[in-house]
This record gives sequence, C-alpha cells and structure tokens, in this order.
Amino acid sequence: MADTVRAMTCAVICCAALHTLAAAAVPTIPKPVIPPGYQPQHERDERGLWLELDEYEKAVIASPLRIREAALDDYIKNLVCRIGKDYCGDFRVYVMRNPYFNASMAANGMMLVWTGALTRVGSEDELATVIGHEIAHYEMAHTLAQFRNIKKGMAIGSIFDIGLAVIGVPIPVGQMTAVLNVLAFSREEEEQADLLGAQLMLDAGFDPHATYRIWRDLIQEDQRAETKREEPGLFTKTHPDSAARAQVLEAWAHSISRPAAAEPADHETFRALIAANYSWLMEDQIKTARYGRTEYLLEQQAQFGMPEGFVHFYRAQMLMQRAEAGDAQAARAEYALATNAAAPPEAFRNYGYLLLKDNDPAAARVQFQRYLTAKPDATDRAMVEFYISEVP
Amino acid sequence: MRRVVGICVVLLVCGCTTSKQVTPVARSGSIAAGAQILLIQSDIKFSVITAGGVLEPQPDWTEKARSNFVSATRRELAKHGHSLTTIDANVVDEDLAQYQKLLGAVLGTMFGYPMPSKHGAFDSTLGPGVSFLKDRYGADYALFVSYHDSRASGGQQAKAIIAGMFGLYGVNTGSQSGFASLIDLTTGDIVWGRLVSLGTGDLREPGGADTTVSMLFEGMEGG
Amino acid sequence: MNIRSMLGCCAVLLLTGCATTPPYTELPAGPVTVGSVRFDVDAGWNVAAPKIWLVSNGVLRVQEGGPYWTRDGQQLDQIIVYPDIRDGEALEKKAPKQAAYPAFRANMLPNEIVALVESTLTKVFGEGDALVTSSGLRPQKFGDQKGFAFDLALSVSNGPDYKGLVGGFVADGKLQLAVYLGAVPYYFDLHRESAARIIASARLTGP
Repeated sequence: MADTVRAMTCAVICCAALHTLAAAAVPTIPKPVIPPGYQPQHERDERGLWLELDEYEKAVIASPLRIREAALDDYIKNLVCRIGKDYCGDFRVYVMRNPYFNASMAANGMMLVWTGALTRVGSEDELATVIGHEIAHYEMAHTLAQFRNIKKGMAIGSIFDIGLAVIGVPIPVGQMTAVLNVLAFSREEEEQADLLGAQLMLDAGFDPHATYRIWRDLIQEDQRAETKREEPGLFTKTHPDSAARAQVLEAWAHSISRPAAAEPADHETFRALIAANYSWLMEDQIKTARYGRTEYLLEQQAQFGMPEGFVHFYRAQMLMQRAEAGDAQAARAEYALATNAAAPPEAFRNYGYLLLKDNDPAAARVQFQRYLTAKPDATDRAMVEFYISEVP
Repeated sequence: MRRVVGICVVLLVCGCTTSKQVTPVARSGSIAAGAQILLIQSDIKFSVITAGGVLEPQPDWTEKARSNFVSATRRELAKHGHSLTTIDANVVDEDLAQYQKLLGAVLGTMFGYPMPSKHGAFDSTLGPGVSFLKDRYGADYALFVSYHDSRASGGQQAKAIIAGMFGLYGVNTGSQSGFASLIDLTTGDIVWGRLVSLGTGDLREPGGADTTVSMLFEGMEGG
Repeated sequence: MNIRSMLGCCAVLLLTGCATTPPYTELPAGPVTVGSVRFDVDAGWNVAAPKIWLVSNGVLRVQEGGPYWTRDGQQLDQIIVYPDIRDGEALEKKAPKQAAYPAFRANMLPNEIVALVESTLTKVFGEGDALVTSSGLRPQKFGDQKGFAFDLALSVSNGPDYKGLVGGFVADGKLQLAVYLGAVPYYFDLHRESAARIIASARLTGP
C-alpha cells in the first residue's frame, strides 16, 4: 500500500512537471491503418478462425447475460457510431451483464462492453474514452494482427482438442472475453490505442480531460479494494500501468490548444440512462461482495448524481454485508436517509429488519408497513407479516 | 485459463486413452417404421491441426462435411424406411435452443457416470414438453448430432497444442469424435445415444461420410 | 448451449470412470445426518464423493464441501447442503480469498441470508456467467426451529436455466441450509416434491 502511495505521489509530481514541460512532451497521435468497411483478405489458413469468431458472436447474441434493454443498447450503439464515424458500420456492440470493468474489440468488429464499465464512469466522456480506445485498436488493425498471431502457435482457447476423449474444451461465453484479453496487445499498441482513442473521442466532441480521469479512478478503486483479485478484470492485468497511461493522456490533454470544457455538452441523457438502470447495476455490484470497491463506487456515483436515496440504500446493504465494527450503526443511518428520499421499497423493509435487530420493534413495524404499502405484490409478504405479528 | 489446464492435466494424468468408446445406452424401445426424423446438427466441423499446433476449422471442408453428413444420414435412415427433415441453420428457434441446452445437461450424465440409484435402468428424457417440435417440424423423432473431425495438416505431426501457454506437451495427430442421440418427440425420451471418441471415415467424401454415419448411428435402429 | 461444453462434461465423467472411488453412490432412503442436522431422504437420490471434478456452467472445477445429492446428475438436479456454517464463515468454505465470498453472521435475519445465497451462487456459477434472483421469502419451521424458505431463479451462460428452492434455519449461532436446484424445463418440477420434502425434514440433532 505504501509503495502505491509513493508511486502515486511520484505520478503527481511527474504530472506537475509534465504540465510545465507541456510543449516538449506532446505525443504524436497514430493514424488508422485500415479504411472504413475494410474486409480483411481471409488467408486460406485463417478462414476457420474467422468462422470460430462468428460462432462465438452467435453465442454472445444468444447469451442470457447479454443486455437486451433497448434504451441502453441504442445509447451505446449511438456512442460507438459518434466516435467511430465512418467506421460505424463495421461494429456490432454488445453490452454484457458483468459487474467488473472491461471492454474488448475483436478482429471482426464485435465489441463487448461489460456493465461494470457503466457503474464506473463518472461521465459520458469517460465511457467515450473506453470506447474510443477499443475502436482505435480496430482502426489500427491491432485486432487483426493479434488474430493472425494466433496462427503462430498461440492457441485461441475456444477450440482446444487434446485428441483424447474430449471434443473441445468449453470456455464459457463470459470468460471468452477474458481469453481474448489474455492474447494481449503489446504495450506499444496499448499506448497507441490510448492516444488515437483519445483523438477519436475529442473529434466526436468529448472532453479530453476525461481520458486520464478514468484511469485515476480505477487506480483509486484498486487501492480501496480489500481483496486483490486475479480475475476477472484482466483489463488491468494486460494493460499498461494505469498511472503511466493517465500521465501520457494528461500530457496530451494539456497540449491541445482547445480549452477544456468546464462542463461537457450533454451530461443529462447519460446520467438519466444510468440512473434508470441503477438498481440492477448496483444489485450486481452488491453481489460481488467487494466492500472496498463498492464503497468507493458509491462515493463516485453520489458525485455523478445517482439518486441519493438509492445510493444510501446500497451503501447500507454493503455495510450490512461487511459487518465490521460500527457498520450496523452506520447502516441504520443510511437506511434512515434512504427511506426519507426516493429509494427502492426494499429500503423500508431492510430498515425494519435492522430496527428489529436493534430491539426497536415499534419502529420496525412502521417500516414494514411502509414496505407492504409501497409494494403490495411483494413476494416476501409472508415473512414480513410474520415479523409484524410475531414481534411484541 | 487455469480451468482449461485442469481438464488436460486431469485427463493425461488419469491415462484415459482415445480407444475408450461409450457403448450405446440401453434401449427403451425401437423406432417405428416410416418415421420422420428431424436432424439437428450442432457443431459438425472439420478442422486441421496446423504445424503450430492450432486447431483451425476449415470452412470449405466443414461445409462439405455438413452436406455429406446430411446426405449420408438420409441414405442410412432410408435403409430402414425413415425420412429425414432438416432445420435451416440460420433460423433461430428459441424454444428449441432451450431444449438443446437441456439436452447438453442430460447427455452429460447419460454419456458420463450413470446414477447408481437408477440400478441400470435408463430413463434419460427431455420431458414431454418437447412435443411442440412434432407439429412445428412435422417429425416423430429428433436426432441431435455433433461431430468433429480433425487432421494433422500436410501430414505433419502437430508438436504441441497447448505448449506455449500452459506448458503441456503432447502430440496430436487428429481425431474424429462426436455424439448422436435420438429423441422420441412424443415423450421427450432419449431412445438411443452414442458417444464416439475414435471415429472412422472421412466426412469430406460421400463414401467416407457413409462410413462415419454408419459407425455413429450403429445401434440406433434397435429392436 | 454449446454442445461442446456438454462434451467437456462427458470427458470428465468418462475420466471419473478411471477413478478408484466412484464419483456418485446411491443414498439409501431413510435418515441421513449432516453435521448437526438429520434429514429424511427419499429413495432415488445419489450422493457425490467428497471431492470430484465436474463441469458446471461449462467450466471444469473441483467440487468439495456439500454434501451434494442428485437424482439425475448435478447438471439437471441437486440438493446442496451447507451444514454448520459458523459466524464469519462463507457457505463455500474452501473458496479462495480472492473470490470474496460473503460471510455468514450469526445475527443475520433471513433477508440477509437470501442475499448471502444469491451472492454465493453467483460466484459458484461464475460472476459474469450467471444471474441469480430470489423471491418468495417465507417462514418455515423445522421441528421446533423457526426457519425460512425462499425460491431462486438462475440463468447461466453455458447450460439450461435453473429454478431453486432453499430452506434453512439458524440455531446455536450456526446456519443450516439446503439448496435444491433443478433444470428448466422439466427437471425442477420433476423432483420438486421429493426435494421439498427432504429439505422440510431437516431437524436439529440432539445436544
């Protein structure tokens, strides 16, 4: 932990230094290598792999973990087209329900975005950064080169045949993304994608300063994590050091002559979209039982403008789960705040349960009644009514 | 990725070899003459093992393999007076997909370790809910098939499939493996199933396909 | 589902034919004691060996803990018993720390145990590869013990959908829990009555 703090301090100092040396440190933006609508010449010996990729995409489309919510789907597609411009028609974007942060692009233009990305970006511009990065890999034919590298002896992972009694080794759809990510781009390719991606999002009208903010946020989230995880989220493992990339992007952002927009153009549409989906996004996050990360994300989301009552509700749930000294008390306060604002009806119920534990049955009963009134079709009515009647 | 290593390690350590074949599961009945059989292909594929050890599906050969498989199956079934219908591969039938997922789970036990509580009785089934397929496709039975045929390219032995990533070394000269199972669409019962880990024939040629198909469907008629 | 992943399962099960101990043995009808709880088991169930390889949601993994009871194979139906879970313990006691399985707390009320099960099963079947939801939390008595029951629904990346039925109670600061999962269509309904009966038969054994 101390090392990270030291590294961060260095990064901050370096950044400050970079700021003053802005003119000297301007990175060159790489250019796209393939034109829009590019159909790669399928070498005879790689056409089978393209077939595999197509089959994988069919599995993604059929997967119960693919988000089919029209508004969200359309929004992301529009964002991709706004940033990809003429390349728009080359892409198919699928939002996958996975609470960790990841996005990936395959050589055939299939882009996957995990819902964990939606809970982590503080603005549309930050999401644009992630999407721009993936589009950049495609435009510079990194994905194509990577795909072709597979022939050179790296197994793709989905089509193992060990010649024994097995036909193929299964790689679950959700984890295939991890496999695709493990076939890592070189550090240079990642840096290039950062820069071209940044340019693409800038050209689409987004705030260049968002490009480094997202990496700083991910660093902070990692620092708050209580258990370091190995996977999923290979995004951070195979990508260059977040601090370094934030540095490069900040230098670039400061080097461009257009002034940083004080407030990005249309914040509200994106914010409203995330708010509309906030419940299930956060339910997924709560289920990860990663308290440090959840706590950090809730702080960010409060700043981002997620509904206050909901933020309190999920913080309370996290505290109840974490159950460290003082957490139950803090949770009680959070539930009190949640129930005084717009929050899911479950806030009343969970508050009631907590009040029961605190030996305040009268107050508990009040909350239980509020729950049943707010949610007359509650499937757990029997349990709640049991406590209402059972408790003195 | 660790999980992928697991299966390779486990299978190699255990010493199970390619020559083990699962015998056809006990019959619960025989096929009525003149039955209409719906062929549901899943994953018929022809691949080549490159010099670098990568298993690469071959689209041209795969296409040939699929059409040869269908013709060979049609011929094989016609010998017993049955007719074959097929499903357009591009049509997505969500109800059918649900049953395919269930079938995967059913076959997992059926081809694997039999549940001792059954005392040898065979009652693998998809349940009567599958009968909607009768009307939808005009069939009495459904025949689910999967078959992978892989060969070493250019006569070369592949050195190691998984070498670089997993440190596992082995020689793969190719294999032909697959499964087939026949479902009575009235009851959903699986009337026959076969898992092949050492196949014969060559789906790239009609004659070879006949060999493969007769091997794969051996025992299906029952009676 | 990818038929290949089913065959991965076949591979494992063919493999286990090589094993010295059978992966599944018949569970005779009658009383079965699991930790501090006695169940009355119907005829027709099988119990998994304490440690086996199996394919779950398309992934090969080692299964420990339990016990696990099944009639038609764990991919189709199973009762997972989580006995004697103590304060601070996860349901899956052998899970690695990095997986961040949530812990049971002895003062948990049933709604928190529901959340515990949802989170646990999501991780068992694979985060990003499974969706687990619950409903119908209701009181249920197990002899003199005041416990609870609730329903589950699961969607997974590489397999059929599942429905579930959970029953449990907390006694002497320990959680006793049983989870029945059955594939949809057909299998959940097929074994629901038997599974529900077995779960309902759970009784705390004497001191």
